[in-house]
Amino acid sequence: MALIGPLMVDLVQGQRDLMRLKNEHLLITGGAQGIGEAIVVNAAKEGARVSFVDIDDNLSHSLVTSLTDQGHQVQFQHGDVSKFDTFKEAFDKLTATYGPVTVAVSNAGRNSYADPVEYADEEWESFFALDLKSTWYIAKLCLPEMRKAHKGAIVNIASIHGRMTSPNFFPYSAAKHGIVGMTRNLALDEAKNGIRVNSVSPGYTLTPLLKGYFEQFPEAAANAVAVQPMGRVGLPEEIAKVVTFILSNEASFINGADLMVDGGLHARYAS
Amino acid sequence: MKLASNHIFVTGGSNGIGKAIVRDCAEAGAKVSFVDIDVEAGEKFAKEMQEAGYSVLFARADVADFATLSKAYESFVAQFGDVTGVVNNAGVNSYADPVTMTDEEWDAFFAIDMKAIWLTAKLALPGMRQAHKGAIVIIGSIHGRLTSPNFFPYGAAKSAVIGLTRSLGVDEGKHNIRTNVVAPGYVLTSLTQGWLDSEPGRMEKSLAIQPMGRMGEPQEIAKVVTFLLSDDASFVNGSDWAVDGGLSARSA
Repeated sequence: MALIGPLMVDLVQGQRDLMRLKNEHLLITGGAQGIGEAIVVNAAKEGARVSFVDIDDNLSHSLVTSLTDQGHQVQFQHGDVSKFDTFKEAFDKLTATYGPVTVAVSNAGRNSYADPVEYADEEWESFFALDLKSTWYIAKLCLPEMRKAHKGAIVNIASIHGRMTSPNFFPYSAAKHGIVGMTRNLALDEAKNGIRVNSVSPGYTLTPLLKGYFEQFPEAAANAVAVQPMGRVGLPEEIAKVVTFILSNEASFINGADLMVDGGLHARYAS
Repeated sequence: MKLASNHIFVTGGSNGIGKAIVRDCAEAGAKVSFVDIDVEAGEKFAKEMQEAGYSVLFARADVADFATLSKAYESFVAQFGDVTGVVNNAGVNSYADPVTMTDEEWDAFFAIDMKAIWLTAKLALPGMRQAHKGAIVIIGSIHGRLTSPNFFPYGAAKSAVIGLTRSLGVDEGKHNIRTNVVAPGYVLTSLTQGWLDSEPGRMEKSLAIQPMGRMGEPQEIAKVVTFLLSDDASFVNGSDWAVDGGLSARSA
């Protein structure tokens, strides 16, 4: 067995400022807004062909239009990624035009904060189908071609709630912990196929969702900023830049890791 | 260039991972200064980089000795300007029996693997606070969150480094100074090679546990360090980023 993998051409001097995802086809779930949108934009700028699946057609179409107008290769298919059949239908159309997916991001998700007594079985099922099971689905769809190519990278967007949590976040934290654990399973098992799998865990990130929450609860906003070691919340672009880096060959030995991108919040306990 | 107009200061830059970091930061456009106790390798490497057109400075300094460390640091600042990023890479191994280890051995080891990180922060923070910008990267280890038999007290020092990183991250974040750990697993340096060769079968066994079927290259650690020093990582703070090919995701 070779001790060291073949030296990557991307690492030679002079290539450094080339685009990080040139020649890649990136698939992302939930690409229409927020962190997903920022990843679509950043990956396109880094040279990837980008496919995304979302349930919001209006936002998706306007994002595709704005990026293709700038000369980027971006396409969208409507699909509920929590249902395998509709996700696969979208996946098949996207790969028919752009070819096999070489790098993937599981990003689609929503919040669920409930009382464990009141919470209904249907609510549990639909929440976990989106926030946890869709992360398996994207792997299920993308792994066959990645294995064939003996190369690939997957980033699963988890959360600071993947390793700690706050009061009243049941069962959100369980799903996010699940993503971190599944990432380890996939990483260990697919490494021999040349595929790296990692999670990126944001803290507070200024998405439309968080903005809405802050407008609704100004006191919560003040507190959310007050606890930040860097005195501010993160921007979607700041998550996106880490994601494209982890997907790129520059991160060729990062595998099975949970990369925190939260301004240091997870280093601080509640006080 | 991701590190244009930066001055990156690296400890232990003459060999191995540190050397790869010096090179990668220089290639990313930074001026790079480094200290090491290996003068011969340090001078040779600095000269090679200078001849290739890079701004690289070397001085001999023992990171455990604040007087010589600060002297080297000041001479670098005088030539390259304030340090914008620090990479704490210098370190040694220490594997001992807790009963027979001596007080002197303990102190010497922790001075290099742990205290030196505080010392470089002590030197760099004033300028970074004034600039309201800075980045500190500490080369930790997989032993910061897990360990193996017979690694006492190495695991203690590497775990402590993570705690130190959290404190610096939480306290200096308000000054826009980010502090993070990069935690390598097995990386094939001359130091590792020596350890791997020191016992029959150790190499085979060490390879067998690697999820990716291979060990890391120094350059693969350096790439992550450069990223964390750059503005692309502007919201990464107080973190411990494992760069170990998946080894820390696997139980023994």
